[in-house]
Amino acid sequence: MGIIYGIEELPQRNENYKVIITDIVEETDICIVGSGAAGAVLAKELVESGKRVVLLEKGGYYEGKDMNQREADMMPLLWKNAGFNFNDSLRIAIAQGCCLGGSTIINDAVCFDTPPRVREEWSNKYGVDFSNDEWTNHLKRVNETLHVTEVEDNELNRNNMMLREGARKLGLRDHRKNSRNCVNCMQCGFCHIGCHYETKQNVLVTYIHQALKNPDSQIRIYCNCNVTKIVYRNGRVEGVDGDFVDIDGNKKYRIRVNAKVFIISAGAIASSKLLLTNGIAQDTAGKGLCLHPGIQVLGDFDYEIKGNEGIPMAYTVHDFGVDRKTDETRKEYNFDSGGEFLIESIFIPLFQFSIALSASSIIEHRKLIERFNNYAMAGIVVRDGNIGKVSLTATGRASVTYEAGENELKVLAKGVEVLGKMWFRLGARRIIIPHRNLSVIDREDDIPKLIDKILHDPKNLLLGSAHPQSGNRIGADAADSVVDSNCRVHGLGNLFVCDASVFPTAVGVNPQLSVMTIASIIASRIQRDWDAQYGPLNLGKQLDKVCEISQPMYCLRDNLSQMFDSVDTQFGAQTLINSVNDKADESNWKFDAETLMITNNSHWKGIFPRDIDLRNTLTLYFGGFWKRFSDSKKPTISSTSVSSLSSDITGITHPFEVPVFAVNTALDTRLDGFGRVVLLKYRDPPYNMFYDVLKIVDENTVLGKAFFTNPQPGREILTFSMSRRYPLEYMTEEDHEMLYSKMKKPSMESMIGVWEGQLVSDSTWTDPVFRFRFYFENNTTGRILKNDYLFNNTLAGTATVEEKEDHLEMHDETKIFHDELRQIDGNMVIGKYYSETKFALGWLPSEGLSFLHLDTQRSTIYLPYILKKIGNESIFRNRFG
Amino acid sequence: MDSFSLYGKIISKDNVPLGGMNIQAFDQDSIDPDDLLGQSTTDSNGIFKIDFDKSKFSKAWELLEGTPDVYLVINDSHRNQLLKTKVMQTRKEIDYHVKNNGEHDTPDPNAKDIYAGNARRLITMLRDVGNILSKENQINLNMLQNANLSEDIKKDIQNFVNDNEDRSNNFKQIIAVLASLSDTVLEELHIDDIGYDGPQVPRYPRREQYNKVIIWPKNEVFKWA
Repeated sequence: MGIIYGIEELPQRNENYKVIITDIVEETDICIVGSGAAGAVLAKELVESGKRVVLLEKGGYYEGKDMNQREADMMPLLWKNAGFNFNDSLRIAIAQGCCLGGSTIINDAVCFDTPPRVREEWSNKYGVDFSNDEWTNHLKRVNETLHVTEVEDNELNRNNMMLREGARKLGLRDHRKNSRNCVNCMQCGFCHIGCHYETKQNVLVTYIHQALKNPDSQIRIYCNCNVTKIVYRNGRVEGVDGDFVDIDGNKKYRIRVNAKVFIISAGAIASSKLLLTNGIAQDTAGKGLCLHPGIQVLGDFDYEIKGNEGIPMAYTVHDFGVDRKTDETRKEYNFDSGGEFLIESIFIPLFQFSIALSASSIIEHRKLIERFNNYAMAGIVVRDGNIGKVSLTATGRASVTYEAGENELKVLAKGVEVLGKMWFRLGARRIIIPHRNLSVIDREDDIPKLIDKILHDPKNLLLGSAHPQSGNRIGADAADSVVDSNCRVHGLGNLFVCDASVFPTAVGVNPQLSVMTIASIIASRIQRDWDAQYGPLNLGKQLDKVCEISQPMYCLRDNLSQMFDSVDTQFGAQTLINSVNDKADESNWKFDAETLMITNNSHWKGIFPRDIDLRNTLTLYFGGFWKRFSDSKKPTISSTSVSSLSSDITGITHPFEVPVFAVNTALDTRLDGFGRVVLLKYRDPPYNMFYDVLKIVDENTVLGKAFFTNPQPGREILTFSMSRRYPLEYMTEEDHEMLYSKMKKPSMESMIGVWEGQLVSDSTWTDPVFRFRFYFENNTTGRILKNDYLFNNTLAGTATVEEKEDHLEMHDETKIFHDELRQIDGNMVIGKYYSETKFALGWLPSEGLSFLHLDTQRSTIYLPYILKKIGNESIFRNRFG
Repeated sequence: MDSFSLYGKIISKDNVPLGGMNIQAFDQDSIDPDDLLGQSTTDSNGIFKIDFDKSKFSKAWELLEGTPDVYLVINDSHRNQLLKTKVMQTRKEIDYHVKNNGEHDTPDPNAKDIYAGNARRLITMLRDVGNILSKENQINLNMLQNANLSEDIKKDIQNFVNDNEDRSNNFKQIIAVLASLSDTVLEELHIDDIGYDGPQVPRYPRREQYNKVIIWPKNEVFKWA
């Protein structure tokens, strides 16, 4: 039986559901990112073929009984960004789902097969090699699983019938009832905010349900899980990392999934973002996005329609679409060589309806709403070209750049012409479109004015998009495509992208069946190739940055505390002894370049759990500490002899930022409620009121709790861990100095690209606070290496890089600062930022001054930092071509 | 306006049409016993229709009875009552959709409010969108001024910056619409003033006992029926 995990406490669920309480490390066959139309199909098909599957979903798990038919309640739970999902100009609203089941939870359940013309185009022009048999068989399979049925005559509501009647009046030839994945629909009209009655056959109640209920099924689904990192090396993906995020957007637990195969199905925008953020397909991902831009045209009638009552989308005019059966109508409307569009009957609940009318002024708006029961509504949906793009901004946000082109506007205008005529012929007193400068006309003869506005004042036309697609297209050539015909990313043997983003061009009809069919085909291909290509791959079991007893620095406080409670100390106080020399040097300090671990036995580095709020004054003082232990032999006098020497292990505790050195003694003992421990008793006031209870779990790792007065279970004031062998990102300033002294100068070539910098302090690294872009610039004397820098998202400038004997040196034009750089490996550089004046430090985050380090040899201060490479030139380029 | 029509469809909790159900339609009276307006049996598709005229609910002495206050009683084929709908007025027709749940799920008055915190979600989203206008625009202006950018990047950033006024107008529009609609009881407000028939289930479905009945009253015969 499968199981769903999430971060939220939820009322009784239909499926097996558990709340997670720790970090997660998974080992599995296949990891799928995204549980929408594609992800759910892939998960079910692959789990039924006997594979182990982990499915990661960013949104939450909601089912029928949660859908209360109120937009203000449901949109934040089901829609991506609660509905605030726009292109960069904020003019085009893009509807996508973000929940278990994805956009299929909030769509209108319209099912159209992939049009033959589109399949041919994809095959002939773009090399998509799905055979006819594959298309047919998998389309059939999807249709059956979703119980796709044609709408009955008696299921057409008044709004649908308006479109039918209008099409008849105009003598159109190719209009018909839709097929839907809905069985005995309750016709509530609230498809967009989830089906309360569970008649809509979305992927949650079909594919995901089937994947879970099979007793042999080995699937685990994680909700509220935002995947950010894809870890890959030498052409192979090893793992993905994600964070579990609560409703306030705070990261709580972490997950690392190790798998043989990874599939990204996060939807047209998020899939491109994930690739670009991880430096994959940087020149191609996100290019050629399509949106199927559309507008709704309202007719205002003197008779009652009540369009919101009933099935929102049950009727479509195909005469001008890519799936049309005849060209006659196009000829009649002088549109023969034009593009393609559908006219789809649609109605929406009140809140979204208001947004659709938002082109009008506020006063107008109120009067327009009053006519709600008298409107007929239909949408023009345009099959657009690959004219959009998803890229990353300087702040790492996914930016959608899209403006309707001349072709798209002409198509929209034709649609408005046809639909406008239709409404007037049915007796409309006026029609309304979402154009800010002309939204209402009351005569058919004025339709050309609307067309003129659309064509010549497009910036004031508010468009909507419900079908973002393409951007990571299928193709044979890595230079202009992201995946091959098996949806495998070029250059990465076990990474796939499979969702609407792989369409080479816009599909021209509502896309969910096409997405699911492709997913079904790819699932069967992965199965087919499993034994030869994927099964034999070695699964890395990497913990990465998750909480585990051997790496307690990654834990949240509750988990650390539980770990502490569950063990006795494995070693005695003797093990705590550090090197004789209390400074780092050759004898007690080591860096392992393979594992990127530092061993420093001059002291134990103390680390607080990652959820402690560093702005709390108490922990700011103790925001990092070390403890150092040595043994001091002294004679004991017993009643019988003077011979034995007992060993006292004495220690010193020093918080990094304050001049406190608290002397203590370490005793092996057993405490009630704690088991066997090492107890630290502090010698001098005021510290002698404090006690530390330590449990040594291995030679290099200690868990600890601090108490005020006698230790009692549950009464700890601090929980922490200590380590003398730790990953790079826990380095102290002294470690940074040692490391720098051992590293070599990087070549100028190896610096090209975009890097993020983090400052190093004794307690912790900062989040990335600056960004560098290195590139060559040609000048009269040859070429020079330059760096465009962006500090803390506030200060930008340019610097020049020179090669010195044992480091690279960077100077800005004002010569106020300079940097010295050496290389740790291909993706990491260690640096020092020397500044002559305080002015140049103004950009530091407020705690920044504690990062300054004294360079004793030069009698000056510097900021130690680490650079990590995040990509090459092109992710910083916002260009498509 | 003398003839009325009630019609609809009934399905089971497994989404299967329920044929052979007995439907009785009543007009609720305040003093006298409720008038039986008519009855019918669902066909194999779960569909029924009951037509009646004014005489069925408006007796000679009931001068004020212009429109009936209709409710349905649904019985199974053995005449056991399955459910009673709520009362709805109509001037012409009512369209019913019923999902018969059988035994009701036990309501849990303490079921978690999963919608709490949505205000925070919305504000976070709005703020993220607003940041595009302020923070990101500022960074781009800064980069244009200080960083040594290649021509193509410069052009794209310049375009972004040029569009900021348009973007700002669009954002103001979004805020204006939201401000005028920020009432979570919007739907309830509009039921009376514009005749909008809103949500058909309680706000907290897990906390209450309710019938899964959708009632769509119409006041006119459809012109293109």
